[in-house]
Amino acid sequence: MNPAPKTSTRLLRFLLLLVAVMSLAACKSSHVRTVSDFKETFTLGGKTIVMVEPSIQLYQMQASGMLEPKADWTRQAREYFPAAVNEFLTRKNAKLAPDYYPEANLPADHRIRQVLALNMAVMGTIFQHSYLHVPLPTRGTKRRKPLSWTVGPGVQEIRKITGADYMLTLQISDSYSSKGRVAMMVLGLALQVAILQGGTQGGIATLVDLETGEVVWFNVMTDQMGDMRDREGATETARRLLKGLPL
Amino acid sequence: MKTNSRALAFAAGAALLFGCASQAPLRDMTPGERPPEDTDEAGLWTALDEAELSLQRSPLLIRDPALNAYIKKMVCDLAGDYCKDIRVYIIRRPYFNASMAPNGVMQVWTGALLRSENEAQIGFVLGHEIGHFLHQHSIKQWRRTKDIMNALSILQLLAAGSGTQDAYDIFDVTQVVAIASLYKYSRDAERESDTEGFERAVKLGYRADQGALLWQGLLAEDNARDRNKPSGIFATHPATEERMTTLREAAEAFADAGSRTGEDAFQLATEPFFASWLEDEMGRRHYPQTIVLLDRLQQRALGKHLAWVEYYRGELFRKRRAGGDDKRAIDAYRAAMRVPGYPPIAHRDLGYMYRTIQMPSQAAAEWRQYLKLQPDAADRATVEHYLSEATGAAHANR
Repeated sequence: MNPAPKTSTRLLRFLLLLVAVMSLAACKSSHVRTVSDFKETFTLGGKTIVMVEPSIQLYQMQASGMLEPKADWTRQAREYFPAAVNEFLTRKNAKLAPDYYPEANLPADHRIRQVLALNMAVMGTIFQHSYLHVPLPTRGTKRRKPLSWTVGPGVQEIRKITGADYMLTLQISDSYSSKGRVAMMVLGLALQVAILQGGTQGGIATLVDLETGEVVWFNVMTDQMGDMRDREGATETARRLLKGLPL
Repeated sequence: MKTNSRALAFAAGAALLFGCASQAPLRDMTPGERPPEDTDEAGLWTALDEAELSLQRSPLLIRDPALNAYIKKMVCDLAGDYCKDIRVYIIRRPYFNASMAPNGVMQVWTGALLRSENEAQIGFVLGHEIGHFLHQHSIKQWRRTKDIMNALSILQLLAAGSGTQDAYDIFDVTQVVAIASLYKYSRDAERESDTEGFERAVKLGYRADQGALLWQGLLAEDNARDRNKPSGIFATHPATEERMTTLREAAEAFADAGSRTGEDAFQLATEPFFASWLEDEMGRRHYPQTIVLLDRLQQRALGKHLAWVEYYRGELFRKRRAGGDDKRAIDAYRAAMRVPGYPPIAHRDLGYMYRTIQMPSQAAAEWRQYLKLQPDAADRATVEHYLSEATGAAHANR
């Protein structure tokens, strides 16, 4: 067994850990890519935007790190967040069509549901290959390359129903440390054995041209401090997720 | 001495943590009820509701209205008032499995339908899943896992922090015991659901021995398994002799309960899918198991079913090509052709077998027969190509 380190060394180690944790906790990132990165200009220029049913799920992180879905928080966030998005866009003078939520009893094989599911799949693919940069043989190996993703002209179905020119889709998952998790994080630090991560917020947003299906804007946001369980937090999250939207 | 007392304190802490796991009371489960929103169960439901939407879009989902109505009716008969709480999804996967989520999503895999001989057997499986639902096994298991994982992670930190080897050793032992207790819990839940499924099936007048018979068939398949490959059958439902014995004893106690097997209705409902499910089964490439299954299916197969069983036996041997398999394949295809109404593709694939063992004129004869019986075959051009190749080769050999 190692002899116990001297008090001064212990203190130094503790401080170093603390600094590391503080910097981690402040970790926020928002990654924006638009076709305008590659074209001369791109603005929405008075075109109409519709937000389609966002995917929102909130979890509580257990002491062990397991994520437990929370129904009440999720319901609240599903109410606060779309309102915050609308508020943000209105303040920016965007032309908005009313939010579009497909009818609950629309069967899974209905054209609309299929197009929206495809849209979600495309978002996941963009995240993997244009954000995480997982190589895709058909796209070459250059890291920065035109944002050339499309959902296809099937999206015109959404245009027909909503009358909008562009569709905004948002996916968010958010987790919060339980008291047990916070205790674990403190304990890990106090015993100087581990730096444990707490709850994290993550979101993906895309803007799709409802004529061509082309994805014209894309953003990824991760945040250790975000909170969607109240209105202020939802507003902040919306601001960060929509950062760089070419209004 | 000091080390010992620290390890002791650690052990005491471990015991305390496992004792204080929080267990919320279960719901009463009145039919049609949703869990209150502030509970962990409601949280699981919101996540599962989204998962259900993607299940509905799954390409593996069997959407045939007749088969769905048939299985749903069985579930309703078995579940009584809880019928409306359960939504059945038939999933095209060739493994023996069915599952039940706490929000009422029941999955029945086609591998389970292929392996059931009648309503009494599939009824036992469906009743078993209903048992999981009614006894709220998922939520109990979720809470246990949560508690055990929480306790273990705290202990791990403490063990790491105390820095003594004794504490590490105690942590290792505790971890093994804790995780084993999860498996034990899972087996207990399976047993409880077995009983529920058995009782519900028997109450509907089904023969009491069918659940045990089904298990016997599955066990035979599992015993034929290539030990290097995962079980597939018992991955989630560990089979024990004890479980089978319990079922058999229960069956003996209820020997005069009912005489219904519902074999005819079950055969009629599954008939349109029999060949495609066998095709999927072949795709598993667990040939020793599939042979056991084919043997079992053959015992009760009649008419066209028998032809399919023989045909796929031929396919199996043709693809496996272990010693003696070539001849076995030819014999099996020929056996299929002796059944009236056999599928013409038996000639095509027998032709391919002959081609593989370089008997071109025999191959050509089979392909001609295939095209004669099925002039509009989708693969006509391919077969004609092989045919010209074979007849060319046959001439060259002369």
